[in-house]
Amino acid sequence: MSVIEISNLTKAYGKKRGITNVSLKVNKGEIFGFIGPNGAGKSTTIKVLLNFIFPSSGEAKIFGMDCVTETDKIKENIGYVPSEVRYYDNMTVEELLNYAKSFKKQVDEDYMKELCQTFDVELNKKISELSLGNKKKVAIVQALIHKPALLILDEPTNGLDPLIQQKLFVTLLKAKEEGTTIFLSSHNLMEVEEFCDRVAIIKEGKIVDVRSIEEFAHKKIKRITLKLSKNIEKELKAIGAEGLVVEGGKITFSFNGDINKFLGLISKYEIEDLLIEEKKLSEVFMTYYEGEGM
Amino acid sequence: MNIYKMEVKKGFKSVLIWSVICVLLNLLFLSMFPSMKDSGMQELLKTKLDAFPPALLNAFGLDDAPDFSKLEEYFAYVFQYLMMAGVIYGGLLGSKALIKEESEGTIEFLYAQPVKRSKIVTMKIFAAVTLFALFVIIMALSSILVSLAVKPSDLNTMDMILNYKLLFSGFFMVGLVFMAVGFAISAVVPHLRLAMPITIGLFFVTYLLGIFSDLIDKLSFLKYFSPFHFAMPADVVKQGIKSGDIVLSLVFITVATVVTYIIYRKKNFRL
Repeated sequence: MSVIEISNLTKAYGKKRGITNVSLKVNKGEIFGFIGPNGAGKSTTIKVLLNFIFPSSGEAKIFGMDCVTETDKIKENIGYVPSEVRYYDNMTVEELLNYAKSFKKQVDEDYMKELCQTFDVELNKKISELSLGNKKKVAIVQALIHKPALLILDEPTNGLDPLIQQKLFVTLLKAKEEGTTIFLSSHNLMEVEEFCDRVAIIKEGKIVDVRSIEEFAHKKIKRITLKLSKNIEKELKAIGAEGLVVEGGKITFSFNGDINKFLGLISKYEIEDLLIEEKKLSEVFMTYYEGEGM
Repeated sequence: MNIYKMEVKKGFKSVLIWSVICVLLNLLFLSMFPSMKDSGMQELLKTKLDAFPPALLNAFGLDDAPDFSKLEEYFAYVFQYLMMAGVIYGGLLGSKALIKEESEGTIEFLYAQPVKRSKIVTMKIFAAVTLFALFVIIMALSSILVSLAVKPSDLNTMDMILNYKLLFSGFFMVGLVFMAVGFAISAVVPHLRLAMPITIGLFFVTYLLGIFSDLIDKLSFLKYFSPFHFAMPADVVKQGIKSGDIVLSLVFITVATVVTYIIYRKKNFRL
């Protein structure tokens, strides 16, 4: 069953920001990564899902309910962490959490205490005294207290130190085990690839690709940089080199074929320099998009 | 209910500050009444006032030559300045209510909760009315208390209280009109920093329209656009609040409130 179902969603929004014809399905119980550079349309999509803004065309459904007309019902079962957490400055953390609690039907007090401990949240501090990272921690706790069926996290790792990032992912994986669906956005695929089941790449408001992480994240690929007197681009392509870039006499490419063939080929030439790196496919994947102006 | 409680709690401090300032001003004005009454100030004032052009007197609500030796007329005169401050406060309560959450980004918390947009508006309206009512009650009670202390012995206490009740009812009514219009402003303005200047500007523009309507016969229809003139204190002590002005106030409040709901339910939040 799809928890989130977005079909042909378009939001014309300002000059550059906005999304065009976005279609996505997020299945129950998966961690779905929504990856793209800043300004690609990740937050816009999330804001439509939460009805902060209205779609220009197309529709979005969560739990089979319409994101515009049934948003209040949908939100009973959603936890949301915004990318930039802004809360009522005069409240203390405890007051804010109590306020959040007052909207929920069911809150497990013990779980809430446990979360506060895990994320090291200081309850008696004023919101205005908190750093960005600490506000984010409060937002994470706030989003989890009612054990929602769907968590929507907009750049959750932004501003968190590595230790807390790790704790966040442990918590998310635990929630996933209990059946929670997680939709998280990030501008860095490498950061989330360990935890996501599937990712969608968005660029300039359009979905570029949706893939299962298993397809490529853990596979290794060789990244080869070669410097020699002659340009052997054609020969390299013939044995399976991909993404060739020639710059300053250096040829850089990805290679996943038989290494013996490669060595056989280059042994015929005089080599000035050779570097063979092992990279995750996802990193290579990212560099492709970066190369296209990501 | 939780939104209502939180809104009242958040606005409580501002009510206290506005109340303290206005009560102190009131105290200052009223404490001058005994000297105004005794020292023949009235005669002096009258000669001076007669020398002013009528337009100016009108602008300051002095046209019908208030008798400053009568407490109600004196109070009605000084009260109009407090009332100006008070209805501006009412307008600000409205005009900040919705846009503040957007400009400060807190709507991202509030509207991620299972609430309808219309409920957010309703709760905020209730909270703003509560806060404003509290302000008016504090002002009324303190005015009555101070007035009792400076009241001439020949003035019937009950009459005085009834008169004050009328003045403060008018104040509350006009305040609600500005608050309702304020809410509509709050649903429309792109940023919080515009809410205050627009509200205060609107107050003074409409107030001036009201004055023009008094000065120039051809422009008398303009008084329908000045909510402040629906319950001008000097007129209220003499003639009470006219039912036509009450109806007009209700029309303003209803239209502005409907506009607020319609716009807020369909708007793209600026985050």
